[in-house]
Amino acid sequence: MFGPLSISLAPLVQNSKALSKWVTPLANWYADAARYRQYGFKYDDLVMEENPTVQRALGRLTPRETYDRAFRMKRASQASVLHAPIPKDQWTTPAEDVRYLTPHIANVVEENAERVKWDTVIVVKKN
Amino acid sequence: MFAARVSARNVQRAARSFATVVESSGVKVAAVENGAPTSSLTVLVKAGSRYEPKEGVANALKNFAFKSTAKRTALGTVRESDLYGGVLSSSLGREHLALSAEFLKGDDRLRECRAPQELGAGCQSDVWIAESSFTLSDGSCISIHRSMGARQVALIGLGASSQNDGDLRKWRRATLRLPNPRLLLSDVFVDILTSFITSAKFTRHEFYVAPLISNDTAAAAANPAIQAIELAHAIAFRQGLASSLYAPAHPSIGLKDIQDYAAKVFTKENIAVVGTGIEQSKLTELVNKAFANAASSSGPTSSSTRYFGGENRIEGTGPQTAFIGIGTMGAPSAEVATLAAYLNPSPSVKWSKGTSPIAAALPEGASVQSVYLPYSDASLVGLLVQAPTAALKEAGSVAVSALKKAASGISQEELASAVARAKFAAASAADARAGVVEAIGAKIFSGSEISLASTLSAFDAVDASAFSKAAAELVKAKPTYVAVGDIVSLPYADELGL
Repeated sequence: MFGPLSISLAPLVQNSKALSKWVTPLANWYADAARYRQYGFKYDDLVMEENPTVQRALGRLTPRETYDRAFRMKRASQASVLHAPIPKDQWTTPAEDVRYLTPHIANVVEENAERVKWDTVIVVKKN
Repeated sequence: MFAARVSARNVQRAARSFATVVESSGVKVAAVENGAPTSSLTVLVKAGSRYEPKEGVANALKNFAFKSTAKRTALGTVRESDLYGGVLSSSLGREHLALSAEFLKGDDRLRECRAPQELGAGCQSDVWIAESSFTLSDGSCISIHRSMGARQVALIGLGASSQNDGDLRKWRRATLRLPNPRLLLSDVFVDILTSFITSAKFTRHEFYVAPLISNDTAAAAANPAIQAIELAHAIAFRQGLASSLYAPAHPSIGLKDIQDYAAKVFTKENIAVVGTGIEQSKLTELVNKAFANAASSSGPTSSSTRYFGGENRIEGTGPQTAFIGIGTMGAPSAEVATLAAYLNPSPSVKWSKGTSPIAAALPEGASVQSVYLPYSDASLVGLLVQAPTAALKEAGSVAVSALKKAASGISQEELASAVARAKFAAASAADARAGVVEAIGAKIFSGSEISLASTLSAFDAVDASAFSKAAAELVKAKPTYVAVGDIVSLPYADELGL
């Protein structure tokens, strides 16, 4: 329930077949309605990155992924100047809208937690 | 024959250096009992630099040891082995990659699982989640627990069976004594070592081994003796054994190359586990369990070694260095080891000049070391000469004439002393843990008998005729001459009489 960045019910929904069946169409409608794809973004481009965890995760992207991310940001900035979405043929398709950054963020959160665990371990030795 | 001559005390010592090799699910397992207070575990993989498909991959794989695996992250590996009091190391040879763990033999009565109330204020939660644990053969287990309460506490404790049970009451009732405490640590370290072999992750962001690789290379580049030996191998063998132990200065290897190499070499037939201070049966059991699901295919092949010889020189810093040597093909023989011992100018008594003919004739400031590098199907033997530029030619000539003299025949007395020195070198190498593992590693993959007695008895068979025959054959082959330093002023092979 507690996702890497915020509270999320997504794992709960994804683990249940019935819930998935009902919630997925709603989720797809919402992603379209949010219109980030009309500006050429992927969802993970919009994750809040101004914190150390996500910065560490960003360091784990391949050079190609980093370049593409910067390109999408630049293209969307231009669209913002023009106050209009980018041409329709360049919109992100749902198939392309892959969560490329979230696994890295999850790993970083896990590693941070592990480090805290090891740093605060109390070893109780008999005698 | 040999056994009949030893005294009672020597029998014990000889017995300690005897290792039985058992094959368990394709992996060779050897356990040595040497009476030391520490145990050690070494996993030998036939993944030395001679098998690497690309320059520097073997070195990279060695530097990747103990990074993330499916079971533990790199941090977890280091902290856990810290907590259990072990030392992890990895080393690369031309034939084998060795992953080692050294730990105390019987750190018994380790830790006790305590209820949170006993630990004092702050441990409020009732729910204890067992995070990682090992189950031993007798059903007791050791686990690390985490509290869900306000304070993060981990207990390393002993409990009875059911490892991931969060019910604390069961833990309080747990038995806290292990029947054989020394087995506890070997479980842990077998797990740590074998999880790298079976499930290393090779994560892209952990490819920060790149600085480690370049550190290795830089350290080697600054040492002219290492440069000379590496170049000598390249000249002498041209492929296979010629591959350097170190990556090139600007390596072109990527993560994929390392993963491919690991997939090729980490197979059961390619692995041997050597334990010192651990019971054979227990070690076999642990290895069986660890490698139950490992890949099984024939490992990498290396073409049979051929010796070529030749001459080369490179620029180098530090003292002017020359390596004058010859290689032999075939399994290492006692005669060649005796030759290396005969040529060895280092004195047996400190601060004396020694009785070697080389030592007597060396100019001031020059130093000569005897080099003997046996491999499974070839050996390289020779002399490493280091001297200031002016003296190097003279020192080199002295070394060459000593080599030639050995071929033409030596006196009984000199032979006897050479045999004694070679025997002592072989025996004293087996005193140290590293030497034992190296000696076992040389024989374990070929399936030959592993015992110190057999190695030493080979020296007894060296007599004057066998020695001079071997030396003459050696000298007939094309020598390997390598010079490192100021290439303009270093002598050439024919100037030294080669």
